[in-house]
Order: sequence, then structure tokens, then C-alpha cells
Amino acid sequence: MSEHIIMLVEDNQDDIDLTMRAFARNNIMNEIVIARDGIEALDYLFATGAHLGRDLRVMPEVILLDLKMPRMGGIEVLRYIRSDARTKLLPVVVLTSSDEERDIVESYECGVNSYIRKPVDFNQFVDAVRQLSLYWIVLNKCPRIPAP
Amino acid sequence: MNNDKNSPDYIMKDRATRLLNSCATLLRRPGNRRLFFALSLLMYAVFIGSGRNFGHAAAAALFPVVTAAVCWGWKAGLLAGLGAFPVNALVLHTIGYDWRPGMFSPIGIMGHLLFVLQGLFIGLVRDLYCQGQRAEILLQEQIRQRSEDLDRVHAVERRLEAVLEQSADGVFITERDTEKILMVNRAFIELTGMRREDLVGSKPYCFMPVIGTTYRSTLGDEIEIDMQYYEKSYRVQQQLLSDGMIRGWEYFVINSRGELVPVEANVTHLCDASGKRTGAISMVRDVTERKRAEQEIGRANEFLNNIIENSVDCIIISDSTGHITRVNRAGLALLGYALDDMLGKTPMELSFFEAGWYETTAGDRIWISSDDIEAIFKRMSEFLREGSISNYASFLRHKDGRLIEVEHNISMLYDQQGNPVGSVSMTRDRTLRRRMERELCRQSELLSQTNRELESFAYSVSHDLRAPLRSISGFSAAIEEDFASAMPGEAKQYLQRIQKASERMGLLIDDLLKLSRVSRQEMQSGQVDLSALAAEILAQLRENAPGRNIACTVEPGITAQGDENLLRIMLQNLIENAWKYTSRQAKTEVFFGRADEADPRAPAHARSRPIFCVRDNGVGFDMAYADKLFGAFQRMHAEQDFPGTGIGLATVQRIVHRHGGRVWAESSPGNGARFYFTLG
Repeated sequence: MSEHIIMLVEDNQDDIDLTMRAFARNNIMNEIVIARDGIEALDYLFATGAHLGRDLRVMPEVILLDLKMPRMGGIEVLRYIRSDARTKLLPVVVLTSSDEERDIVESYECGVNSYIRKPVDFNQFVDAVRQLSLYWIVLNKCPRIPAP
Repeated sequence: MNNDKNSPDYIMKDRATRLLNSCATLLRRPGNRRLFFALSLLMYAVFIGSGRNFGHAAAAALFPVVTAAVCWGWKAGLLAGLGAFPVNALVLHTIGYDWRPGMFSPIGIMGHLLFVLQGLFIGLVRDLYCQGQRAEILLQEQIRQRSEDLDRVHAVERRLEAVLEQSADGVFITERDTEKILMVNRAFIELTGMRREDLVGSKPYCFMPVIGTTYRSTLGDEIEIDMQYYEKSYRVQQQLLSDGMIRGWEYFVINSRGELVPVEANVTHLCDASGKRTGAISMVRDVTERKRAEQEIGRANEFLNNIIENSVDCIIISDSTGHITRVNRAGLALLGYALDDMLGKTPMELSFFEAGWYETTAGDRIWISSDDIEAIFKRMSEFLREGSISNYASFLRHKDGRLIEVEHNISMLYDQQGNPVGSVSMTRDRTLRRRMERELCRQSELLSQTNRELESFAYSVSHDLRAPLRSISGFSAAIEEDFASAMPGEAKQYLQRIQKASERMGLLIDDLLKLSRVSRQEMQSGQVDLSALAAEILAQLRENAPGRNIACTVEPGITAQGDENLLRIMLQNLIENAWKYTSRQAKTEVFFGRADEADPRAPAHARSRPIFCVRDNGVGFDMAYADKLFGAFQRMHAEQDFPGTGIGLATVQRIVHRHGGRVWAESSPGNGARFYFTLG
């Protein structure tokens, strides 16, 4: 299970900490790759910038994507992911504070696999992370990503 | 003469006349004359032959003389006598009978001359008689002619009288000397309402109004006969005297009811053969109906004038050559001209403009291209062809040079033969509308900007405001989990309160967003089955609370026009409220349907619209706070009694308002609540 990487794209340190804590609470031991904004996320996914030379055969099992971030927002990241052959089949779950209709619609239009709103209550949040991981890491089957 | 017809004298004279006539007739025939003369000659010869003396011969001479006198008159008789004597002498001498010198004796000659004179006399008498006869015949003829003429004159007179009598116009004839009325016809009697015998023989003053008196006219108005009326009458009379006739003289006649009858009269002087004025004939027409019609037309004109003058639209009437004959007040105000500046001009002359930049009265600056000008001309020629133009948006030029944005409706006017006699153009000033459109545009721009701001505000609230809450909730939970053993109980309690508070704040933010979404969301209107929605919502609630004793009623078949999504949210809020506030009752009663009767407290504009109602038997509320009911975050009950953020009814109100409806409520503590609403 540990070879499955979960990528967390999130700019808020508190949210990162709480999410990590939720993973820990749910005994999820997968490698978590954290990107603090859209640019970082794309650098990792396409092995550019700080991640230059990364082995592109290793791709996250699921990407948890926040929407509102500095430099590049989640929707734009999603567009890049879906427009590139190397990443277009990656499962992407939007995990955000907003439940604005336009965010939801736009996300799905750009091909998101799931849209989850972070509950304020921590216990509910932990529960959401649990279900999410269980579904995407354990239950869900992904196609093999073609080698670059 | 007629009386003497049977007298013996007359009979005798008549007979003699007839006898003479027949003799004369007999003798007038030439054959008869010859025969008669031959007979005379024969008798002459016989007498001569048989006579032995001059007496016989002289007697014989009588025959041709008398015969000639009788047949051819005295001249022929004279010739016959003069001829008879020598012939007589010659014959007697020739045949040698009884020739005696005594034949030429004075007595013989005298005797002969006597015969001749006798013949002459007879001839003269005959001629005179014939002359008298002819004269009498001529006289008789003349008398007969005269009598026939008289009959004809009488017939004409009777016909004329009949014509006058039958005339639709009133007629009366006055005599000059006595000034009395000689004759009136039926129409005049009807006009005045007086009797014929009262009129004939009276003076016309009997039906003339008196100066200085006020009368009621047959038209129904009061008219005072003033000096002006009298002066006018006097002038007309003078004119009549000088011209001998008057046409179309309008004056008043008093009828038997004492009303003034307006009349129009033609008066002509009547003269005898020598041209001496003998009287006057007046043909009088009752013009009440015409006056009434004129009044009607006058009133209709006034009505039309009022409409034209009071119209807010500019009305310009032009003649068939396109020159302005009339402009109403609005027109003068619109174009900035005085009436005299406009009359006689063509609208083109006044309002012509060329391509270029123009200020408009609405305060815009616009470019008029030559294509625009061409389009205007084209449209105008279309109008000339088709005879009307409707709602044509164009421009007029104000006196000050600015353009006025207008809308034209122009119609050609035609006479009965269908020839154009002019046109009427009704022009609406669109300046105000243009200004309002611009203002509306600005407002709507402002509104959409506000909406955009609200949207982005809501967006950042949605994203950013909840994140710190999650941190507060998360980290206080983390502290509690990680350091529970090192903390006193009180600290744990505080941590829990922090979590609860952040959770509640999360709810508040969510509700606030919902409320703002209700305002921001675009409406998609359609037919919505409110009954079905209410039933669905109640079924859901019922399912979530299986233990409750519930009696819910939904009146079936209630539909309304609106946005289904929003109406669902609204009904959900109302019904969930009812549900919440009935939770303590032994039996929950919730009703949705039409209001039974018009609520007297319903806003005036809601009266004619269907009123819907959500009713419950819950705890109710105090009407003293009813005005706070629909405010955001306004709560009537303590949080621990009935949980909630106080956003539900505010949401309901916003949705109802967005549908153009009204919502109101009535209740009293412990007696349930009734929420009424209308939609549009």
C-alpha cells in the first residue's frame, strides 16, 4: 500500500497539518506529497522546476486539490492535468472549503473525479478523509498510466 | 248678359243673326253667288222682256243691283246700278219696245237712282252688318280668350298656392300698405305653432321677439334679445328696401310655446306690373336642427381640439402640399418654435438636418451618417406611397439645433373621393425615455457590479472564512486528544466550547451564504406544483422523525409560476419551521394550502392574487415582534429551546420578494403560527 502516493495540493499550513493528522488518525501510511500551490503541483507532476529529473513513472494514486491558492488555483491545475497525456487519467479530488455551485460545476467541467467540501468540525473532517482514502486508495481501480 | 239669354228680344235677335249668318254663309260661297247672280240676270231679262214700260225695266234693274249689293257689297251694287241703267236703256231701245222719251225723264232717272241708292244702301247695310258681325265675333273671341286666360291664371295661382302650401319652408306674404299678413302656409303654421286665422290679418310683430327679453330657444339655451339683434334686423330691413330681396337672413321667431326658433329667411319684395311695391314674400326655414348639428359639430370640434391640444404627443397637421396648418402645444414645446414660425412651413423645412455630429435633447452626442439621412428620406417616400407610417423611430431638430429622438405615427388624410387632403403626424418625444433607459442602464450596470462584488465577497467568505474555523476546531480537538491527560477538566470543557462555537459559526456562515445565494441565483421561471413540493418536504421530515404523532394536510393541485429550486427552498424553510416549532406538541399539525379567505391584514396589492398559507399548531410567537420575524439572524426563541440561526424566514422573504410576492404572518404565543404568501 505504501507505493501508492497521495498528493495533497494545499496552501494553508493549518489545513496541511490537520489533513496529515486526519491521515494519521485513520492509519493511512502512504507517502504524502505536498504541493503548496498550483505551480509546485505541476512541477512535481511534470518533473520541472524543483522536481526536475523526477521519475515520471511514479505518479500519485490520487490528487487532493484545493481550489483557492496563490499563484495558480486548483481549477487551472486541473486543466493542465487533464490536457496532458501523462496525467490526464489521474484521479483528482477537489477538497475545498467552498460549496459554491460555480466551483462545483467548473470542477466537474474540467474533469474532476470527485468534489468534497471540508467540514468545519474536525471530527467530521477526519471521517471525510477516512472515507476518501478508503475509496480512492483501496476500492478504486485506476488505469495504468502510460509511460512517457 | 247671361241673364238676358232667355228674353224674347235676345231670341229674336239671335234668330235674325243666325238667319243672316246662314244667308251670308250661303252667299259667300262663289258657286252660290254665281247661281244667284245668274238667277237675278234671268229675272232681269224676264222683267225687261215682259215689261212694257220703264217701271218694269227699272224694277228689273233692282235685281242685279240688290243681288250685287248683297253678294259683293255696296261698291259692286253701285257698279251694278250704274251698269244696269244704260244696259236697261240699250236693251229696251234695241228691241224697240216701248221706247219713250220719258225714260230719260228726271223722274225715270230719279227712280233709277233711287234703285241704285236702295242697292247701295242695302250693300252698305250689309257691309255694316257684316262688319258688326265680325266685330261681335271678334269681341266674343276676345272675351272667351280673356276668360280662358283668366282660368289659366287662376289655375296657376291655385298651383302656386298649393306649392306654397306644401313647401317645407314656412311662407308668409305681407301687404305693403297695411303691413298685414295676407297668407301663410302650413309649414309656417307648424313652425310658429299658431293658428292660421291668428296669423292672417295680423302684423308680423305677433311672432317677433321683444328686445330686452330673455327667451329659451328650441336648442335649449337661454338667449337675450339685445340691441345688437335689433340693429342687425334693422340693417337687413334697410338692405331689403334697397335691393328688393334678402337671402339667408338669420333671425328668431317666437313660437306658441314662447320659445325662440332660429330661422333663416329669404325675403323678396312683390311688385305690381308697374313696378310698384305691393308687399313681400318671406320664405322661412326652421334651422333648429341645423344649429343643433352645428353645435354638435362645434362640440365635437372642441372635443377634438381638446384632445389635440392636451395631447402629450406633438401633433402636426399639414395640408395636401405638406405645409403645416396646425401644431398643438406639445408640438411647439417639443420643437421650441412659436406657432407663427411653424404655420405655412413644411416639417422638412423646420426640421431638416444633414449628416454630422449632433447633441440630442437627451444629452447624448450622436453621429448622423448620410446613410441615416437617406434612410429617413426613403422611409418618408414609403409613407407617401402607403399613406401611413407607424412607430417610426427618427429624429426632429429643435429650434436650438439639437436633435430630438422621437417616434412618428403619421397618417395621410383623404377626402371622400380618396384624394389626399393633408396629413396628421403624431410624434412622441423619446427624450425622457432615452434618459430613463440610460439611467436604467446605469442602475443595472451598478446593480450587476454590486452583484459581482457580492458574488466575489460570498466566494471569498465561502473559501476563506471557514478555513480558520476549521483550524480552531481542528487544533482544539488536537489539543484535547494529545494533551487530555495533562489538562484539568475545566480546560477540556473550554476546548469543547471552542469547538462548538466554531461549529456554530460554520453553520452561520453556511446559512449566510445560502441567503446570499437565494438573492444571487438566476431565476428560471416555470409552472411549479407547490402541493407536490410541500408533500415531498413533509414526507422527508416524517421519514426522519418516525416517532412523532403527525397530522399533515396538503391541499392538492396548487401550482404557481416561479423558480422551482427557490420555491422549494422557501417551502422547505416554512415547513421545517412549522415542523420545528410543533416538536413539543402531542400531535403535530401542519397545513399547506390556499388561505381560506382574504386576510384583512393582507397587503392591498395581494388582495387580487391567490394567497398561500403554511399553518401549524406549534408554540407560535408574539405579534409584537412580528416585524422582526423576517430579518436575518432574528430569532424569537432561545437557541436551547429551538435550534437555528435565524436565517430561514429571511430566506423565505427574499425568495417571495424575488417572485414579486409578499409574505406575512400571524400568531399568538401557544396558538400556532400562520404564514401567508403570495407569488407575483
